Amino acid sequence: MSSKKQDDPLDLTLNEEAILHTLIFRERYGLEIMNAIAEASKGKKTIGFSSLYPTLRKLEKRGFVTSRWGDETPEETTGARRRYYKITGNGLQAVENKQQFLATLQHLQPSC
Amino acid sequence: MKKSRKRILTSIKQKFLAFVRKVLIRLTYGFGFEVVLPIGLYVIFAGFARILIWLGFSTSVAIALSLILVILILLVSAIAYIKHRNITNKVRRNSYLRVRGEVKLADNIAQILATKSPREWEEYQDWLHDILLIRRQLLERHCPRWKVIILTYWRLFAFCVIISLIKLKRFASAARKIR
Repeated sequence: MSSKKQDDPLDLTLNEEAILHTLIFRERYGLEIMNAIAEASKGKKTIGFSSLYPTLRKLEKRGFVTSRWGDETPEETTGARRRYYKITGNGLQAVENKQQFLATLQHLQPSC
Repeated sequence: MKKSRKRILTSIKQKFLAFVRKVLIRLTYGFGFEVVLPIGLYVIFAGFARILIWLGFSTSVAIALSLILVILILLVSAIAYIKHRNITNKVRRNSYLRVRGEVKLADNIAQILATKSPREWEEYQDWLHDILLIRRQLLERHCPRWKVIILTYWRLFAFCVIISLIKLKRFASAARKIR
């Protein structure tokens, strides 16, 4: 059931869609994605840390985004590194499919 | 002319004070505070009493006066120590780059994750990185410290809970596969 859901490119949540949209023209790291979403929506739509990173992992598993470690020096105390995310061809395709689907839905005439 | 003499005097005074400080530090670290303090007090007490006796004071008056001097020295030292401690604490409180409670907690979490659960650490270390990055950004934007502390603790707590749930989920699916 869940694998079927994962394979469906139309099955994108609002958060997943927003994240993919932020990555269309440039690669970004987690906090940058969060800030971009908040800024674009003028603070009306925010995405928390606890939903951003698991969602990014899911998108990576589905092949919609790829990631690479940043060249910056790791965080002073913890040694944690920054990771940059980039949209893949599949990700772009999924966004386009979703948009097409929504556009078709808008103009759909009742058949009977 | 007067100014240059004053400058020379102040520089000599500063050099002398620095020398005394150096000698005191060497004495304190060389012999230990517990030995230096009573010996120093005894020397002051006995020396002052002997000088007073030599000046013609009676023994009881000389002892009383030197006792008062020792008490005064102790009092001044205590006040100086308390003031110094207050100033250094203030400086420490103002510095937000030092390892504070929440940063220490983040460090502990990172160490535990890296050693006990390297897969999750590899996957989610950028989350921890960004929690500390936004903390620094908020402090630089002069956001109230208490707010930043609460937010960071809350984010670290959420990080721990979600990583534990992911780990549990993986463990459960692995156990199911074995069965």
